[in-house]
This record gives sequence, C-alpha cells and structure tokens, in this order.
Amino acid sequence: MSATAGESVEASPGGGSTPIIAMRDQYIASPLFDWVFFLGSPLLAVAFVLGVAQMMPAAQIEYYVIGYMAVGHHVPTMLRAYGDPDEFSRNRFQFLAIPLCVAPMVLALTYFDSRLLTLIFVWDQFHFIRQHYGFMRIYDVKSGASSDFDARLDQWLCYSFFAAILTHSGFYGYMYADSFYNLGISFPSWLVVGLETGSLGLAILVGILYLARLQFRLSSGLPISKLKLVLFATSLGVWYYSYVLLSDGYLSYAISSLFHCLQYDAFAWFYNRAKARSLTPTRSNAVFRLIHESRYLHLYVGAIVLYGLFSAFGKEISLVAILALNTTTGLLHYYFDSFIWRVRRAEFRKHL
Amino acid sequence: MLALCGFIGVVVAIGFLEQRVLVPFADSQDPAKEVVYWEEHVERNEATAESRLRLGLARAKAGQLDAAEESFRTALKLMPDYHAAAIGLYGVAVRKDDQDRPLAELDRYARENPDCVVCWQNLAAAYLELRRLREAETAVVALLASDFSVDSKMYSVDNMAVEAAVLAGRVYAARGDTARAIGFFRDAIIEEPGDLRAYILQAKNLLADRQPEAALAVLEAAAPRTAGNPRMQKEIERLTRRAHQVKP
Repeated sequence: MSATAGESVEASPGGGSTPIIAMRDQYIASPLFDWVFFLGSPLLAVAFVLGVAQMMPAAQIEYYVIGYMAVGHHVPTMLRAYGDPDEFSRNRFQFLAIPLCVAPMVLALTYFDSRLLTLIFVWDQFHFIRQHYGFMRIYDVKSGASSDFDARLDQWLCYSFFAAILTHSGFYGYMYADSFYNLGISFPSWLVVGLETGSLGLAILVGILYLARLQFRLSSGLPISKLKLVLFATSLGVWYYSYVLLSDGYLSYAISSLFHCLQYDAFAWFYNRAKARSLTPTRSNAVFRLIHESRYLHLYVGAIVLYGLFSAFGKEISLVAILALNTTTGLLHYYFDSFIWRVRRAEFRKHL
Repeated sequence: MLALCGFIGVVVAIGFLEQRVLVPFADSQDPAKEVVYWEEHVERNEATAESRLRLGLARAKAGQLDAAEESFRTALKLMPDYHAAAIGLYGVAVRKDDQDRPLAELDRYARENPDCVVCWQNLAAAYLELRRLREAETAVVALLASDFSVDSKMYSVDNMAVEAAVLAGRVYAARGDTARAIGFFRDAIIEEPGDLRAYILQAKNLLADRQPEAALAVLEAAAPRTAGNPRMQKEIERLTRRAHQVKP
C-alpha cells in the first residue's frame, strides 16, 4: 500500500530511510472505533457474556446472540453484494445463480434430514478465522508492513493456532465427534490424538518462525504492525479462553460469535460508508447510499436487528421456512465473504 | 475454502484407507460399538460434560443402565445446570423401575432450574400418568410459562409449544376442567394444524362437555388430514358416530 497523507519518514536503525506510517494512520477507522469494535471487542465480548451469565441462563444468552447478532450479521453481506453496484456487476453470476442452487437444497435438507446441515459449523468456524486473518492483513497493509511472505506467514499463524485451539477444546472436540458420528463417520483415537499433537506441534513451529521473522524485521528496520499483533493476541487469547479453558458450549460460542459479529458489522459499515460516498448518485444505488450515511446509522443497525426479529417471530409461523432461510443466508454469507472483501483489490485499499 | 476441502478430503481418504476410520452408518447403530467409541472419546475429554452425556446416552441405548447413570451424574457434576443430563438421569432411573426417587430428584432440579422446559414436560407427563394431578398442574403451569424459542435447537423442527398445549389440555381434562382443556387443544391445533392428536382430544372433551356440534366440526376438520393413517380414520369415525348419539 502506498503511504498515506499522514505518513512521516524516519531514519531506520540500519541507517537507510524507511517510511514509517504514523500510528494514528494505522488504524482502520480511528483509535477509539478500532479499540472498541476490532481490537478490544474480544475482551468486551467476554466481559459482556460472562456478566450477563450472572443474570440469565447460558442457553438463553447463546440463543439471543445467535438469533440477533449471528443471524443479523448476514445483512451487511447482502447489502454489499446486492447494494453496491460495482460489487454486483463484478460477481453477477455468483450473486444470482448460487442462491438459487443453495436455497432449495437447504430447504429440502431442513425438511427431510437436517443432520448434514449441522456440519455447517465447520465452515462457521473456518469463516471466523478467515475474518481474523483478513483484519490482520488490513492492519499490515495500513502500517506499510505487508509483503507476500508475511501474508503467508500470517495465514499459517492464524490457521495453525486456531486449529490447535479447536483440537484442544473439549466442547468442540465433542461437537465434531458427535456431528460426524451422526453422519456415520467416526474417528479413531489415534487420529484424534494425532490431530491434537500435530496441530500443537505445528502451532509451536509456526509461532517460533513468526517470532524469528519479527526479530528479523525489527533488526532490519522494517515496519511491524503493532495493531495486528494486538488483534492476534486479543482474538486468539479470547478463543483460547472460551474454547479451551471455559469450554462451555453455550458461553464459548456466544463470546466467539459476539465479537466476530461486532467486528464484521462495524467493518462492513465503515467500508461501505466510504464506498457509498464515492458513488455517483443514481436510483439503483440509492438504498446502499442511504443506509450507509452516518446520520442514518440507526437504519443500518435497524436492518440487522430487524432480520433477527423477523426470524424470531417468523419461527412462530413456519419454523422450517425460517430455519431454511437463516441457514441459506448463513451459507451465502460464508461464500460471498470469501471474495467480496479482498484486501489485495485496489478498490478495497482505496476505500480504507 | 480450498484448505477446508483439502482437510476434509484428507480425513475421509484416511478413513477409506484405514477401515477403522469410516464406519458405515448401519454399523454405528450397534449399541456395543457405540459405547466403546464414546468411552474412548471420554478418555480424551474427561472434563467435558457433553461428552459424558453422549456416553451416557450410548450406554443407556446398550442397556448398561448403571454405567449410564454414572455418566449422567458426572455430566451433572461438571455442569450443574445441564438439563439434558438431568433428564438422562431421570430416564435411566425410570427404566430401572424406580419412579418416586427420580421423580423427586427431577422435581427438585426443575425448581432450581425453572428454564428447563423439557424437565417440566417430563414432570407433567409423569405426574399425569401417576394421577398426581395437583403436581401435574403445577408442572404444566411452569411449562406453559417457559420460553420455548430458547429451547428449540438450531436445526431442529420440534415444536415444543404444541407439546405443551396438548399436555396442558390432558392435565386439565384429567382434573375435570373440560373448558380449559378444550381451549388448550384448540391452541395446539392453531399452532400445528397437522397434529391429529389435538383434534381427537378436543373432540373427546367437547363430547364430554355435551357439545356434539362443535365436536363434529373438529372431526370434519381433522378428516382430510388422516390420509394414510387408518387408525386415526377409525378413531374419527368412532367419535363421529358417538357425536351423533350425544344430546346437547
């Protein structure tokens, strides 16, 4: 990423001159916004969920988080996919054809045999760590510390640490075992133990490599994104706490989902607002522009909550239809997210 | 995405190579094998209540009731508000022909955890069967006050509201409060128009309340839904004949 307006140039320890981007410009939105919604949100989610757990049963907390936050955060994806004319024209086929394939398939599975749908949580977990990796990339780019090698190392770090956490989580160990078993697939002990040991070994190895790389960058005077490291520490730390130490099925998912959704909704709003401002006003992009205007923030939040409310009350009328709808939007959210927020795309960098 | 598909692909491929990995679904239904599988799993996840519960269910299915009880108790120790474990414990005790003690235990658990919908449902049904109608009513009142939406699972289509309404109707019918029972059966029909139980029970109570016209209307509404269910068809025919004999 090219240096931004707030960039200053300082002498590096090695004697050469390396552009150092001012700390303030390394934030995605602003220090306060980033600390609340991105960097500190995992810790806030722990505090919030554990606090509420003193007042209501864990199952109820998980229900509200899934019902309003998790289901609701599919809305920003749809706003971006179908509201942003550039994004829509770029991926017209995926946005039109894939929902037509997914929706009937999900409806049929919900109605006849929902066992296969439980495997969606594998993709759910995968998209948690994909999002986290995306944020790490953005912070890296914003600090001018990005390179192909570091991007790959970040990816290995995210996946290996997250896999080690998952394989050492009692609850998720059970979830995976039970869901696959219900489909007729059972894993023998040696394979599970192998996965546990292997993933831990890989995480340690990647962790050492990562530290060595950081040391190298430091000694070479290359920039390091401190915010990226903070984000990694808070997110992975909270995942380790909630999945391994806490390992309460209801609370750990509620914590994880809460901060994931907060980060996503906040980022989507921030990015789409910048995108909406750059659009030439036309009738076709009017809704996208309106909902992402700062003064209409309540419309954006309202749309997210409204989908949750619609699902909650819709279940009273047809449980199958709403379950199928939520599962379909969930799958589309995972799929669309894999290509609508590409950090390497020039347009994406421009609006950040 | 590629990494995920790759991971699943590798796991399944290993499964095909190593016969122990991929168990055909029919085999996984073998209760003894299921117990061994979940015992191995629990060895690795000793502190996970859900794993203990799953082992308890497998043991109960295999008829190993004492071992199942031990699994459910451990699950409850690990997670004191684990409703499924409390119900599992109750179910095993009932199968061991020990009704009073487990019922008292479940009752105590439900009072400590009033959000346990399935506890109240089991208690109401058990008290009704034992004709302990006052306790059945208490349980059904608690059941009706529950938030059913929280209890429904992510991908499950079970409708607890219908179950609750049917159960409430049965309890009030047994207590002789036919008007209230009829109201609950009506709620159950509105909630789930395909549930024939509610039609039959409502028609029976309407007949007991000497309302043959209303009973006939209910039976007429139920008739088109009995296709492929000869037992229900016969029952509706029987009740229709009776309705014609009852004088308002």
